[in-house]
Amino acid sequence: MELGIACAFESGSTASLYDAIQAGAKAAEELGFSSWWALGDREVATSTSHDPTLGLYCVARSSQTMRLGLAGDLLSVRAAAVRAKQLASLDWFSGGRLELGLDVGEPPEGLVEDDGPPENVDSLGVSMDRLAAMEALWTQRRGRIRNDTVEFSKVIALPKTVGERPLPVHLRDAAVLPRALERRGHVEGWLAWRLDEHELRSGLRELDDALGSDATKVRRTWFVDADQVEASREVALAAGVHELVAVFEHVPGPGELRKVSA
Amino acid sequence: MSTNGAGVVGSRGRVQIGLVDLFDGSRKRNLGFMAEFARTAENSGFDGIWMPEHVLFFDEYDSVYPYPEAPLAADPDVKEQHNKVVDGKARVESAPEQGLLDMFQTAIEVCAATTRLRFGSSVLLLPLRNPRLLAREALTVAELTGGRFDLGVGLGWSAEEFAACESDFTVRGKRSERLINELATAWSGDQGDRSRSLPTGITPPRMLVGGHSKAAVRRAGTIADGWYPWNLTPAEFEEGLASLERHLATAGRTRDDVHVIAGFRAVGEIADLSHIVARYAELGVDGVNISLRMTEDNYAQVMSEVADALGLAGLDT
Repeated sequence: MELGIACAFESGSTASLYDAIQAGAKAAEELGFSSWWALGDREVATSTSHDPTLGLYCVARSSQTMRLGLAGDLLSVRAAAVRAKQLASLDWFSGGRLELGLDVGEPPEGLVEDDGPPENVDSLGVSMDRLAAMEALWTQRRGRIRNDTVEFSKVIALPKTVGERPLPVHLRDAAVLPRALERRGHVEGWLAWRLDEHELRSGLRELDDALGSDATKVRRTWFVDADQVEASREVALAAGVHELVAVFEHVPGPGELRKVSA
Repeated sequence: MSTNGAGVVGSRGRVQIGLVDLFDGSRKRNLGFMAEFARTAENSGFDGIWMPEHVLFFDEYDSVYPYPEAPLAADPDVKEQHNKVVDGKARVESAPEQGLLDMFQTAIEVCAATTRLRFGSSVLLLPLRNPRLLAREALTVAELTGGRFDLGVGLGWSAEEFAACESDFTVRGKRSERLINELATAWSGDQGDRSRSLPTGITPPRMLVGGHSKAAVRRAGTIADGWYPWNLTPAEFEEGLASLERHLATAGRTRDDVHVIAGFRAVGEIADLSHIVARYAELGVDGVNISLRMTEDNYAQVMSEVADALGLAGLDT
């Protein structure tokens, strides 16, 4: 089982944010962590944390091999083409290490514009429409898409993701998996975001129900508070979790990372 | 204007000289190129690098590029068309496979490679953004660049781009005004719970309004931190500046409350750039941004020649 990190981008020391991220990212790689995740938009919206994408950019430029992930992108609150460029750029700066965690739930009030969409919008539908549009921009020389949310044709979108690939997509809510699968056909992973043991097992059952024997092909990533990592290892192994991710409320320093990796 | 090795000095003091160029994520303009380009600009005495923004490009446009004529370096009262025109419609200058990296990530990259160089958006297409997300992004860029980022904002001109980005082109002016206000309010802390959930203790980036329409000048004078028109003759610039000062007075502000940059696409000989820069400097700009369309092969030479022409105080190398 692999071990990863997720954090809010706030300096936990007197160092500047940039220096703190640089030190943390280098230490994480030396200690053998497999991935670094930014918190999702939902968590960041109610915090004083810095922007997750730009924080992750600093991790990308301070590391070589770790996978980099966004733990809860709310595509329902941003234009697909704008987000596609941000993520393609981050993938370019990271040398192709970016993975996308999707939060398809209803967005928090603080992220919806005053003249935003009316209530009762199908957030999952809009998110999957925008994901399809982003994938068209990343993979097609002249992008073309037409769905209920986005429409364009013959567009030039550069840079593309490294290898012009769709990013690996991890869904955050197992309950919506059937509908997401109807739209995209597959997902690469499931993010169990700060679930307790009971919720984790419940989510795994939903995965099994939605995917049958294919459920084992979906990567399972379990996020727990950093001080719960040790206590969660056994459960994670027994549940078939591929990666256990320690969540910090600030950018962890080398000492904190050593504690988690021990 | 004096150019005695201390840079350009105009009626309001030293004029910051910026370069407008692009980083596109191509093989040629890779990470090494970005760092070298930025360091060369800094060492040559330039004050900033500014990058244009387009989220998407198209092979064909119905929309007309609005700035096809630029003042001549040697005789800035005269404009010359430098953009290609197809069927009577001016086209944006772009390569067949044109792209641009994300503005904010590029800003952090450039500032990390340098020590004093500023980075600005020339200009960010404001109506395409969710202001609730942008407020945090811009504060993060300010933090991660050590306060060296300037947020130039504009309305955009390509209806095709707006449609593909899910934004109503016809209301982009009103939407921009609302977004500028919303950003300013969010950063002022005068917004109840929402402002309390943004990063704290950070000076937000200077927000400059691009363009020279009456509405753009009004927004610059009443709610933004500066004005950034493009391709104006000195007479046109002077007229805009007078209007800006009237709006500043109406809003109870002064000329010292805003930063004014004249930007232009260089047309003519490099040796003549001092003429046009001097005209803007005499009128009282705080900065001049020059688009030179440099190549990967000639940028160091071009920067050196421009620095010489403007008497910039670069490093002796």
